[in-house]
Amino acid sequence: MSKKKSSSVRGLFLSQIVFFALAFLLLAVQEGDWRFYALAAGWPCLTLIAGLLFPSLFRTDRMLGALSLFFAGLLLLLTAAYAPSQLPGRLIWLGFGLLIFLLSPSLFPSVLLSPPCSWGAGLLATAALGAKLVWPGSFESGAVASALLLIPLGALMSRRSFLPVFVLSAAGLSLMLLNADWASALVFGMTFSLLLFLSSGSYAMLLAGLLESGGLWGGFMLLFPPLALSDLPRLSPAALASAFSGGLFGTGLGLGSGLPAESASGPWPLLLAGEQFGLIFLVCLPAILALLLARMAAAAASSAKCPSLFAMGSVLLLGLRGLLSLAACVGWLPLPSFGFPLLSTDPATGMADFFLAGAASGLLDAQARELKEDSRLAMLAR
Amino acid sequence: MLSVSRDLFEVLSLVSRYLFVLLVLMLVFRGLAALLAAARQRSDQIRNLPGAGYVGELVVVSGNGELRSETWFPVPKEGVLGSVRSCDLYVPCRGIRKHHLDFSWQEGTGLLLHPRSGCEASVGTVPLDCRSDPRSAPLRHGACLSVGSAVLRFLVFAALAPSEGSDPAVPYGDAAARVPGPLGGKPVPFEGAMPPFPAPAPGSEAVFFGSPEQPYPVPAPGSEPVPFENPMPPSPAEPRRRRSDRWKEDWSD
Repeated sequence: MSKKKSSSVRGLFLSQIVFFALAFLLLAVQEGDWRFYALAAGWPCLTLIAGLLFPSLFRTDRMLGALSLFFAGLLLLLTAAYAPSQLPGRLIWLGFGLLIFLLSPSLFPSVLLSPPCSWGAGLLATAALGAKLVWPGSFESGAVASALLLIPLGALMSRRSFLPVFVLSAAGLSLMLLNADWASALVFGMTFSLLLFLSSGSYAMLLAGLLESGGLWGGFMLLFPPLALSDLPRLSPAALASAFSGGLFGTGLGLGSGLPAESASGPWPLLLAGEQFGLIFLVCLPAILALLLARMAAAAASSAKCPSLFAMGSVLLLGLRGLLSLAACVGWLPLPSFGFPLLSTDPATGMADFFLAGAASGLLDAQARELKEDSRLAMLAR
Repeated sequence: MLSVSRDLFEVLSLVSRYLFVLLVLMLVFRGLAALLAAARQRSDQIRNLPGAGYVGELVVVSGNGELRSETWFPVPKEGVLGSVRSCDLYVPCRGIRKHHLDFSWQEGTGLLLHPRSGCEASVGTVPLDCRSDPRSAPLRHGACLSVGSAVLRFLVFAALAPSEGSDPAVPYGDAAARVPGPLGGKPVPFEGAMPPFPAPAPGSEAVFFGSPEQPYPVPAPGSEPVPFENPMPPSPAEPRRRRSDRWKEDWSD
């Protein structure tokens, strides 16, 4: 790694360490709660270990690790500040999410992009969506299914088998719509259409993808009135306004009215961050997401089609969800259930996001190894 | 445990909000710097390894007047061969469709070819269509690929292990393929890396584009090979354009 890159990445970790140490300490001295003192010491230590050891032990990308850890820490901080009763649960599923992030690089691209595993991923996605139909309150399966469906879709698109692609995506979309998961269906439909265009280079394919997604949306709205868009819960104007009530620098951590955690759904952490830390901070969050997506997009420069398509699909999935989450936050979209990527309160969605970031990390590591091998071959040839 | 009064906490919180904004701005700028440094590092690596991601080259043996003889095309590990610039192997020749065939490199086997529906190709004398098994006729080092009205010879890079059935007499693509060449816009002179084609003696039955086991044209026994005189230095294909230019080209097509 070049010196400049390594010092920039070190700066990434250092700024996070200081940020979270200060933030958790502030909460700790407010409440006198031993858990916040433990977090003030533990989270920065974890960040330090993540920067020093994880890249060599687990082959994760340092920049993706730093940025994913920042979002995880922010979610933990906001939970500690305004929903301390949910703190133990949040810690557990964030731990699982980080574990998935650490283990995914070893599985990509060799294991999970192989044909048997890609079909297995498709079956798992369909099973997750079907399980939500049978047990409605179980978990939010939309984001998990979207992430898993990228694997067989990337494999089929790389082989230019477009009929199975349309069948698989239609099955996934239909199940999401039957679950009334409009947000995931919208994001998946747009991701699938754009990915079709990227893999084939054909505008006709893009149109076909959009027609399929739009047709299914319209069809389900007509056939199933109870799933109508107008009946979905929306964010209240007060909740929306609270994101901007802190001004440029925010009300201060621990001050301000604070949205009750139960009242808002998807964009709750975003709204609370806007109120507590200010508009500048709120604007920086999408910027940090953009950096993370740009780094993931570097994984799309793979020499093989299937990993490249998977990386592009991951970037599209997370990017579109981020955009739509911001649109819901400012009231442009009536769908409130878009969680900001990596900042979602739903455990399944959060773990799916960590999975995608970890997979991109694995693809970047595979690229670096291929380049090293090419250098070695070039040396041999001379 | 230690806690402070409400008033003191308010003061601390109000002061620290500026610090938090400063730290997150630092995070953004450091992240941007790291991203740019990584992109620069990668482009330097690729510039020093112009052959990175490529497994060999296809040299034009006969282009039917549309392609100059001994023009060469770098072959990536997998992609599409066709007559539009958005293809990984752009071969503008009569009889080659816009997206003619898919190819992929398999270590130890060779380049597997899968013609698209309605397209044909042949490896030596073995014809391939969309229903053929690509493994039945892999393109190995020195073998000739007939596609459309063009005939192309496949040369693997020297450092890649030779696959079975390749002719060791045919030299591999060497470090010339690794130095900045057409990929950087400058043609690379092909200095004697290819042996001259022996022209068949009159009356002999030369097998030109034979099976993969004997990919190199060999004159009939008893006849003496006549080396070509004054072999033309091969010219590389036109430098690959940027992806944005290729998309523009396709729209006009």
